[in-house]
Amino acid sequence: MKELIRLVVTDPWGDRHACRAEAGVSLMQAIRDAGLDIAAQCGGCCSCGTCHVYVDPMWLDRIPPAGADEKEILELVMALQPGSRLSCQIRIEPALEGLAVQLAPGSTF
Amino acid sequence: MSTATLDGTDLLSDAITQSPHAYFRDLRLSDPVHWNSRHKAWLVTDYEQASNGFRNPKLLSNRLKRARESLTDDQQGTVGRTLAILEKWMVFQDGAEHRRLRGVVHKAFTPQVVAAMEDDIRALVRQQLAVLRQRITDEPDRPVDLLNEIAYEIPGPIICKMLGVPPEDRFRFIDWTEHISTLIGGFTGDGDRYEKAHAAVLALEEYLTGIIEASRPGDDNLLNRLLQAEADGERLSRQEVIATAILVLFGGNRTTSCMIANGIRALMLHPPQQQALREDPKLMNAAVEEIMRWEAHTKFTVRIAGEDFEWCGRRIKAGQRVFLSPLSANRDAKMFDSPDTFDIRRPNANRHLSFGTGIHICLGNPLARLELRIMLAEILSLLPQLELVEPEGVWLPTLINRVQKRLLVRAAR
Repeated sequence: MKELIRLVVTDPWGDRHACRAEAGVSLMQAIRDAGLDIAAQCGGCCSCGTCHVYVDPMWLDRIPPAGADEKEILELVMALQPGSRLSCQIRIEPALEGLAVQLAPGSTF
Repeated sequence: MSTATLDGTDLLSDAITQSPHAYFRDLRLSDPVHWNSRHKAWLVTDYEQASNGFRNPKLLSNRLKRARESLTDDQQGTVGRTLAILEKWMVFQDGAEHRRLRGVVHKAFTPQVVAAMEDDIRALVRQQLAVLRQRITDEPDRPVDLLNEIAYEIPGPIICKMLGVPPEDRFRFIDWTEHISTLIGGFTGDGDRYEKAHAAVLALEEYLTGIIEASRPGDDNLLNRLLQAEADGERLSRQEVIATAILVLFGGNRTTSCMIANGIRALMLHPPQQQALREDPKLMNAAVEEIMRWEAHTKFTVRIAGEDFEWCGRRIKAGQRVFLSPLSANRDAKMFDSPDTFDIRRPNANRHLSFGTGIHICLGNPLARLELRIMLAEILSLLPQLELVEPEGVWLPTLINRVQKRLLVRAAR
């Protein structure tokens, strides 16, 4: 059985959800698989900005930085913050055990 | 339907145009990646495969190239040139070229830019609904065409304002965009469609060149953003600026008014759902998503296979056409419970594919959603006073969009 990595996702209304995800999937897919409402309209192609999350400050340095395409889309999202990332561009791996993120405005319907 | 039988079903027949769902349901169950010999295209009908198809880089978007290359030498300078211009639309581009064009236009359709249009949209909707109220009061027995007389007058002025062209000029280019629509939309029965589209593109080029020459650099609108990208060098050519402006005028017009008409019709056909929405306006966002799921405005999105590959046991060959069907995928029971039921409380309605998905997902979708939300919120109290003249609707024979010819209503008796 594959190891599951624990995540904590806070929805835009402030409710915290404990989720578990397999290594290798994107954070966006993990959030969607957990049954949370995430727009992610382009389905993970770094094209729409509707999977925008705020990564908890203590985790920011522990995930690979945003690439050029992601930065370009992040410039266009609503309510950009220092922890802003596109969840489709973050790959879940064992080192992210306990990762905490919040869904940003515009990432749900 | 046997998968071994050659399927020559005419997707533009009256039967399929008016009632497509039974044909699609059979395909989803028996052969989700299916060869239609009449249209010489693979029809992709179930949710998972259509969704995969939208994200598959082996499926390319430039479907006009083949048509252009098949023209005679005499046609290359006229119709060929028009097709070459339309090929510059980002919707027909792939890879880095697509990303470069899309990046510029995306800046004009951010959530902030769209939200700033809300007051303009609401004012326009109220103006149009005042016209509707007056008509049904003065002439209760005379049908009003909600699509062409009311809804069609909403997206046009809004997209003009966003682009930076005078809204009153839309009457000049409505016919031009309709002629392009006939070509792009896969309508049949118009033998002159290439020539008409060519004349329309020439007219739009001339019109937009005049607008560009008169534009004031300080105004914050899409046209100036496009011109700025051109001035920055390397990002956009003048022909790309004009082609993109034509795309925005084209895309923001007819499709959105059809979505509005589809939405009003869906609510009029389901009075209890309509009542639930009146009682709880917080359901509006979910209702709009369900409308787009249940009555998708996109029948097919066309892709061209860029290479040979296997798909669901089928051998797809380079150059073959692939028709991805949001209309069918949105009714897939594997994705949506009781998919033929219209339910504004459906929890996953927003997973519909009506705007596509992947790198080509419709950039104008936040604007279209906002226009639909405002229109439905404003018309809700009026709906009980209206009745549909043609409850089944009259659908147009087109391969790309699922659009009605008209939406006739009159004062309820």
